[in-house]
Amino acid sequence: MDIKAHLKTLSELHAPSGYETAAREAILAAWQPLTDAQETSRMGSLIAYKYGSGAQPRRKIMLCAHMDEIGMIVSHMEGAFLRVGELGGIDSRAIVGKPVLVHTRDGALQGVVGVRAPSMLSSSERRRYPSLEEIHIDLGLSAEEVARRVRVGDIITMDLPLLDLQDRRVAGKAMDDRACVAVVTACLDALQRLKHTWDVLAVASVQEEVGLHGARAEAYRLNPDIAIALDVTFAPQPNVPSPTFELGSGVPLALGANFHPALFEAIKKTAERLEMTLPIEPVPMASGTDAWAIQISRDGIPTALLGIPTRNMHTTVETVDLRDIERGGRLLAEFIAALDDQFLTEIVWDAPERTEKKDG
Amino acid sequence: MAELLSLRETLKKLSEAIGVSGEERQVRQALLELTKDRLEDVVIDTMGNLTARLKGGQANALRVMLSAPMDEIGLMVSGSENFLSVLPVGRLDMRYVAAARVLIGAQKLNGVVLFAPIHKTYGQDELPEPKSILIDTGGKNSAKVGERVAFVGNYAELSADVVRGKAFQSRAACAVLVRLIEMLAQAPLPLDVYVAFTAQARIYGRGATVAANRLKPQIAFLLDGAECDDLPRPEGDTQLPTVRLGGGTVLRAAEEMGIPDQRLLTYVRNIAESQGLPYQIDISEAYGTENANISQTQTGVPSVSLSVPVRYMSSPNGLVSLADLEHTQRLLHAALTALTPKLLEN
Amino acid sequence: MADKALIQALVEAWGPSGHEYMVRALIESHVRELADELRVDNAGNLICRMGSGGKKIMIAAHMDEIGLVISALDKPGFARFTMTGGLILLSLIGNRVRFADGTIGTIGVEGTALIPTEMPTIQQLFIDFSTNGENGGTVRVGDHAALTREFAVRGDRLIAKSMDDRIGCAVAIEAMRALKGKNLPNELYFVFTTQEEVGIRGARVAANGIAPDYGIALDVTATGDTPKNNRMAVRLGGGAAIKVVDSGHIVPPAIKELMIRRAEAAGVRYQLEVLSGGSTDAAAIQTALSGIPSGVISIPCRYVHTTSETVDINDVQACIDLLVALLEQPFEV
Repeated sequence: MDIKAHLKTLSELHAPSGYETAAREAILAAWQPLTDAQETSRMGSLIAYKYGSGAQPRRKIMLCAHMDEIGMIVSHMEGAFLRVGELGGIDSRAIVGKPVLVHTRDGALQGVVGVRAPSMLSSSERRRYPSLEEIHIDLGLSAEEVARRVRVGDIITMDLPLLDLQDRRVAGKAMDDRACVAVVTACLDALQRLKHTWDVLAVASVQEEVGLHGARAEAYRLNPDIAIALDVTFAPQPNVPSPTFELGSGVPLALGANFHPALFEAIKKTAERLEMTLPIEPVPMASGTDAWAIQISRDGIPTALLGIPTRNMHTTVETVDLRDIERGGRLLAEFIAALDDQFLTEIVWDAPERTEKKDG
Repeated sequence: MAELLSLRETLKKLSEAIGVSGEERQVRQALLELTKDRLEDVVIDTMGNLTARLKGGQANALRVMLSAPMDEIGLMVSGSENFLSVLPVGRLDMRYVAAARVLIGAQKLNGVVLFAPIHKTYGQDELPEPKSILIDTGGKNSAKVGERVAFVGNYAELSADVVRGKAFQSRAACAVLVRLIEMLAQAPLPLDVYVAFTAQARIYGRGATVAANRLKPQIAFLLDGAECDDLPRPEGDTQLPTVRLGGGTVLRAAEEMGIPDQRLLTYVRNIAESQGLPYQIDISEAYGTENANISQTQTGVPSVSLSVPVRYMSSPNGLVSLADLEHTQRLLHAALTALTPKLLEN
Repeated sequence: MADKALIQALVEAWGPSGHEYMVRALIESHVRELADELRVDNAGNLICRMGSGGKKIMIAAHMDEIGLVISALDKPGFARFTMTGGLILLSLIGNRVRFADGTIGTIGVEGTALIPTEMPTIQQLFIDFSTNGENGGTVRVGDHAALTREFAVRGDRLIAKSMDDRIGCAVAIEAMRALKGKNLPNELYFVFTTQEEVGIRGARVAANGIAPDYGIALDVTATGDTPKNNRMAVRLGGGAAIKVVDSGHIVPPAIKELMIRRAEAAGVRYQLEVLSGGSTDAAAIQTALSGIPSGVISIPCRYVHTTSETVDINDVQACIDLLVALLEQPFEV
C-alpha cells in the first residue's frame, strides 16, 4: 500500500466539518477493496465492515478516525470581499496570505486570505495577528461578480498540496485527522493477510472538530464491544509544553480516565509482543477526541486512543512521519488479529481474582 | 533566439524564480535569458545588478535609464540543528510568516515555518520577532549557515485579468520592463537606453545606487510595485482608498526618502492624461522606492517611479491586474516616445 | 398576515426557564383542536402530533424565556438574584421583572452614582419589590422572575420581550392552523420545548423520546443591519432566514438546499444565515440518539435578549409559509 499517495489524496481534498462528502468518497474508494460492506450513516459518517471468521454472534471492534477538517464559511459579502465564520477551530493567525478555494454552486473559485495593508493599521494592530473577523477572502473579482457567483454559506477551504520533507516526513493540511484515517487504511490493508475472529467496523466520522458529533452518533448506533479512536497528538516544538512525542519515535497510546485501563494494557502487550516502542500519553481528564463521546455511549464502551505525533497542528503545514502511520496500522491489525472470544471477560475493571488478599 | 513569451507567461516565470536580496542569481539568469538578444554591453556588476544597453541606441541621444528591482524579501539560515534558525532579509510582514512554506538554498530544499498549535497558544495574538522563526525540513542539519530561504507562492490566474503570486513588487516591474525592451527593440526610439535590473532593492535600494553611479543616466524611469489599500476597513474607518487594484499606474507624489522630480512627475501625468491611460497618485509614505538612491547619486539624476498596484505586496501571494501591467508598459513607452532634452530645462 | 393577537398573547405570557407552565397552558388552548394527539413529557415539553405515517419530523420552538432567580434577600423589600439564561446585565438597570403571582420588581444597582460608569457585575444588582415603608411583598429565595414589557407595533415591526422564542411558538401554531385538515405526507411532532435558554435541555429529552427522522427548530437569529454592525448578512425584511451554521450546529447541506428549493418554489422570500454566536434546539436534536439531521428556520430579530426584541411581520409570515411548504410536501433529502 502506498501510504504517501493515499495520504496525499486525503490531505488535498476539501471536506470541512458538516461538508465531508469529498472525504467520504475518497475514503470509500480506498476502503471498498479492503472490506466486505460499506454504508453512509444519517449524519454522513462512513462505516466499512470487515467481517471476522468467528461464529455468530461475533464481537465488534470499532476503529474511529475523523474525516472532517477545519474550514471556513462565507458569512457575508463586503463589496468584492468575503467575510467568514468558522467550521471547527480555524487558527486565523496561520492562514494569512495563503491560497483558498471558495466552493460555490457552480464550482470552486481560487482566492487568497487577505488582510489590510500596513498603512491601514494602527500601531497596536501592526503588532498583532488579525482575528477571524479581520481577515477577508479576496477572489480578485469585482463586487458584481462576487454577488453573482458567491452566496452566504458557501464553504471555504485552504488550498495547498502535500509537501515532501526529508526523512519520510510530509507536511500538509488536514493531517488532523486524515493521517489517522490513513492508519485505519493501513490496518485494513494489513488485515488482508491476517486472520481475525472479531468484526472490524472502520468508521471515518464526521464533525469531530465541532463537537464529536459523528462519533457520538455512530457509537450509539453501532454499539461496538470495544472501540479504538485515533487522533493526532503533539510533537515537540517551541511553545508546546510536554508531554510531546517526537515524529517517528513510536505511536503513543493514551492512559487516563477517558480510557479503559485493561484495554490499555492489552494493546500495550501487543506492542511488546511486536517489539514496538509504545510511548504513553498521559491524559488525566478529557482527551478532546472522539474517544470522549464514545466512552459514555449507552452502557459504556471500553475505549482506547492511539495518537499520531504531529507538528504545527491546525495549520496548513501539519507535519507527520509516514513511519508512524505504518506502525500504527500494523499495531492495530496485530491487536485485532489476537482478539478472541475470551477478550471481553479479560478486560473487566476489577476481576475478583485480582483483588489483593488480606494477610492473616 | 529567446522564446518570446506573453506578458502572462513572463510574469509567471519571473514570479516563480528565486532571488532573495543579495543572492539574485536565479532570477537574474531568467531575466538574461528573456532579454539577451536585445541587449549589448551586458554587465553583472559588483552588487549583482544586471545592466545593459539596448541594441540600436543612438550614441549622442538623451541617455535614459530604465530600472526594475529583481530581488524579493526572504530569510537567511543562521543556525542548523533540529530546526533551522534564520534571520530576516528585507522588511518582513510577520503576519504572513506563520506556517509558511519555504525553499532553502540553490537546491531548493523544502521547509515549513513552525507554528505552535492553537490548542497551546490560544489567545496569544502578538506577532513574534523575526529572529524566533524556525524552519523544519524534516531532517537534521539540512542546510548551511548563510544559505538564502525564499517563501513559496502559489501562482494562479484568478480571472482573465487578476493573477496571484509571489514577489510581484519586483517581478511585475521586471515583467513590464522585459516586455518594454521587446517593444523598443521592434521600434527603436532616438534615445540611448540603458536597462538595470537592480539587486538588493529590499536592502535600502543599494543596488540602484551603484547602477546609477555606473550608468550615469541623464534621466531615470523606475518601475516598481505599490501597495494597494482598496481593502475592507473596519466600521467607522471612512478613509477612501488611494491605490486600487486595476486603477492604473501609480505615480508617487511623495515618498519615505524624498520627493520625486516634479518636472518628470508632471510630464508623465500629462502623458497619461493625453493617452487616456489610467493612473493613480499615491502619497503614502509607508514604502519607498529606489528613487532616493538614484536621484541622489553623485550629481543627482532626475527620476520618477511608475509603479504597478499590488495587493498584499509583502505576502507570498499578492495580487496584480494584468491590465495595470499593460497600461504601465504603454505609459512608459509613451513617455519615452515624447521625451526630449527640453524636459530637463527648468 | 400573521396573527398579531396571538403573538401578543404569547410574548406577554410569563415563563422563565423551568417554569413554562403558563405558556404551555396558553399554547395548549390554541392547539388542542389542531393536533391529533397531545401529551406532556417528563421535561415539561408539550408534544403535539399531526398526521401519521411517513417520515417523523420534529418541529421545536421553545417556550421558556431568559429570567432570574432570587438568591438572597437583602434589606426588606430588596433581593439579590442570579440569572437563568443570558441576560444582558447593562440592559437590566431600571428595567422591570414580574414574578409568577404578578408582583412587579425593579432592578437597581448599588452605589450612589446616578449613572454607573462601569459595566455592573451581577453581584452589584438587586431587585426592589418593596410595597410600602420597609415592607416587601411575598417574594422568597428561589422565586423565579422574567422581564416584563408590553408588546408594541411600529409599522411592520413588532417589538416585545421574549420574541425569543415566543415568535417561534407563534410560527409553529400558525403552521399547525394552515396544515389542519390537509393530507400530510409526514408524521409531524410540533414540540413546544422547555429550558432551551439554560442548555437546550427540553429538546434533547423530547428528541430522545420521539426519535424523529428529521428536526426543524424555529428560533430567532440576530441581524447585521443596525449602525456599525455588518457582521451578518441577515436583515429585517429580508425574509425567512434559512440557517447554514451557528456555533452549536452545522445544518446538513441537503436540508439547507431542500429549504431553499421549497422557498423558491413557493415564492417565499428568504435569506441565508451564518451566525457566529448562539445556538438553538436543533443542536440538541441533531446530536440525539444516532444523530437526527436538523435544520432551522430563523426569524430575524434585533436586540435579542432585551425587552425590545424587534421582528418584522413580513419575515414572520415568510417563516410560516416556508414551514408550511416544507411540511405539506414529502421531506425529500
